[in-house]
Amino acid sequence: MKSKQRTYIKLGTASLAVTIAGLAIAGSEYPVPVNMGSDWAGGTSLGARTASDKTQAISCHTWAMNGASTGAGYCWARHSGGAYRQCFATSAEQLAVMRSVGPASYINFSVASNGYHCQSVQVSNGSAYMRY
Amino acid sequence: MALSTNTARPDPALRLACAGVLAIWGSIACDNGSAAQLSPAQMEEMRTLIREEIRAVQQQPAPNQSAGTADDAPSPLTAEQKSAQASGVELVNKLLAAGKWTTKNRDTLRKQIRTLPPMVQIEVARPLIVALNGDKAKYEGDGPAF
Repeated sequence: MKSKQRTYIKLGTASLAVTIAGLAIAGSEYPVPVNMGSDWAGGTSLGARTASDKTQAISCHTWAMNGASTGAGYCWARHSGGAYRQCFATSAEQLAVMRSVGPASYINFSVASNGYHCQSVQVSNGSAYMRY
Repeated sequence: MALSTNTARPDPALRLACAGVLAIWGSIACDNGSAAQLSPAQMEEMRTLIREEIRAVQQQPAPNQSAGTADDAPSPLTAEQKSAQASGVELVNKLLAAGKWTTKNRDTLRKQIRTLPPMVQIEVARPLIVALNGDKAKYEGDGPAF
């Protein structure tokens, strides 16, 4: 009798755990890996972080210095093959976009013809880019 | 609708347009609608005005360019900053010649140029970034190359 009760409790606990796990991963997930061309790169934080190659990465950072008239920003990406793309920004608009990067971001940037300035920076934040 | 709020100096484009119309037609439109023929002296004055306005329009910066102000002008670098800039440039050039860039090199560069204004830091790193983007150099390290 006691053994049966224990079995029921175990089954109940297990089914509850499965239900909770199911709820936690519900919804669309879109972990875009890092892709790049000769003058652009794009991908999601999630796609890079969960890639099996342990090489991919994509990120942006901004910085400012006391007394300097402008701040700066830098976006960079590394492909699974090891290639890097990166660009610098100093315009207030591009810096604002870079600052909006978070753990649920899709980042895409293109490099200007001079080879080091950002031509464009795009950031999308959404539930599909984050693993809950 | 106000075309210009600057009474001392109206919009150059507006002045140019008015001057052009007047020069073409050789007459002055008065407030009461009457018109008067321009004398040769007035015509010459008008030509001078047109030339001045064309010069003024040509000297205006393009809409997406900053005209630059004293506040925007970067402060001159101190001797210490100039030395840091030179060290950074030297490091970048030396390692680019070898075609390799490592995490240790990156950290060294960061330390060397940390006192420089961001715009100058970018200029120091420019050859490195151009080379990496063009696959002319390889970054052998973790995290960002700069």
